[in-house]
Amino acid sequence: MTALLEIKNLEVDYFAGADTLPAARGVTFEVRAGTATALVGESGSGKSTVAMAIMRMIRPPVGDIVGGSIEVDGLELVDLPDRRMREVLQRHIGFVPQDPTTALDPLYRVRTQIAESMPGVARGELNERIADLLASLGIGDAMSRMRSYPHQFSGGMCQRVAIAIALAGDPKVLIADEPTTALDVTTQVGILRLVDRMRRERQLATLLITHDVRVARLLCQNVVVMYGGVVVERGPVRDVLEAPRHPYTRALMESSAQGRAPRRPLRAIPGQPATLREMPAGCPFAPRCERALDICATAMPPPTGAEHSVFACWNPEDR
Amino acid sequence: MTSVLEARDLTKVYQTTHGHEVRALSGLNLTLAPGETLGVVGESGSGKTTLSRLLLGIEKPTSGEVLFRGKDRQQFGHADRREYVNAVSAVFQNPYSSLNPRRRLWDIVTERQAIEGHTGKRDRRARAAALLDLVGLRAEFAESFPHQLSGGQRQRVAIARALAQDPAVIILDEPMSALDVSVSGQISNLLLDLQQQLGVSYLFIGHDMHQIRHLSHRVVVLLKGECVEQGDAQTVMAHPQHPYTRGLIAASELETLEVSG
Repeated sequence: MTALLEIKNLEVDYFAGADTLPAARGVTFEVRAGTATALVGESGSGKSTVAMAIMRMIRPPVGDIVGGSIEVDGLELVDLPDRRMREVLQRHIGFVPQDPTTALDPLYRVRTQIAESMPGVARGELNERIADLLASLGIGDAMSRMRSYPHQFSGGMCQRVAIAIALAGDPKVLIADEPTTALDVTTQVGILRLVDRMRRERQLATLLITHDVRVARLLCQNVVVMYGGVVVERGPVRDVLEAPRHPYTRALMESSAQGRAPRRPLRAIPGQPATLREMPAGCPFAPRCERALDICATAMPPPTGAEHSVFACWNPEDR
Repeated sequence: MTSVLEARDLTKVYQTTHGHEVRALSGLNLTLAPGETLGVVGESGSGKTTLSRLLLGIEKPTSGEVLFRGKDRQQFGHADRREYVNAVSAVFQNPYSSLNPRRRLWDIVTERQAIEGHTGKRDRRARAAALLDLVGLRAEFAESFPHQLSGGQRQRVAIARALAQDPAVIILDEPMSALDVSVSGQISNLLLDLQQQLGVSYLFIGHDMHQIRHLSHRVVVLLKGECVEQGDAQTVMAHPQHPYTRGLIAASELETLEVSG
């Protein structure tokens, strides 16, 4: 199995007036065909920045990719001309947005919006192709329902339509940005199952952006944990989440209320999430870390480990 | 046990422009005891936000009663109403939209005091300092504007404001939903701590079953405006009776996506 999506030392900056804000620093990971990787982090961790950078949607004057490489199926995207990049987005990368009720256009029928992502399909075949796609995503009576408008669908059904748009071009890579966050708990499960089934059936290299460790565990084989623009830990889900080496990963797992004694204090992480404006020279988590050493504030720890997970920490947790 | 807040057969019907009726809340009964946390669980369209609006008096029920310390709100006189708005306060979901961006924090948290006529700025600043301290914010923040704060800090400000008039009840409408995981733990701890110190009651509206179980003494489960289950939080979570409650708990405790038997 080859890596369909390969990110190496990716550096992304945002520009705010005279300031340059580092939103992603040295981000490295890969996603193989038929596997799912979760990019886990809080707001400001850089997880969405990485997803947007892969699709080359961070451009001046807002920001730019200032270093590293992004390869999709061996093709370097970082310096690809716009015309070719559009082709890549059309054919190789599918994107599922966070909130389908706002991502779909209320003025167009569902059919029109899916057809837009199926260029080159003969007119006569279009309806059938769309109906097949919708049916495979669990939308019954697809022939007639494709003529509906988004407001005639529930949140969960809208998300299925959004997934249909993402898969319409038969991509190799699927990027889903918090695909279940806007949905009710009971609807979430159906959508997660669907993304999981599509990954297997279509051998998609799936990148799931999420703040929810639980969703990462359900859907993914691998996980990349980001904090303050850097990857603090990455590896197989069972290693990283069951036996975290980076204190942030462990703290994230412990701050959930799941399985905690009722009405007793949680082990919350003190302080506030890192902001791009006040990024320390060393590890971004150091100011909130209970295991921090002197060196943590001044020097960025190099990625270490290999067997179970790769982590960037001067004073890692024991295995 | 005397209740501080009680809803009896509370019903709210909205009329749509086409003359249709939407029953947002249907015959709901609940009581809230002093110092107690009542968790209200439900998905979108369950009526949880309608419930909070009715309890806060933002909207009037179509039928049914809201009782405060045993007295029907419809029989309230001017003084009762004034007591009620001070005794029942609220923290909303989104601290980015619930704080006035043009006011400084000391002004935001003591606004109610100003409305009550205690307008002395020195008094209000002193009160603000005490309130910010209570929610774990440094005194320097008093002169800041909301945009200078992170989401978790803003939610602390919203809690400080809710505490300003020593309320008996705080309605917490998804107060952690807009926050990061690492910060929502802090807010959860703060709420527990404040309840212990002050004896305030919480009506905690949420959709995260783990949070509800963690914070609540009792829970009410809403489905399409109706209460399908109500009882001791740990009992309901361990032995849910209604299929909908079971579904909610199963979804939140799912360990694998594989469909089994």
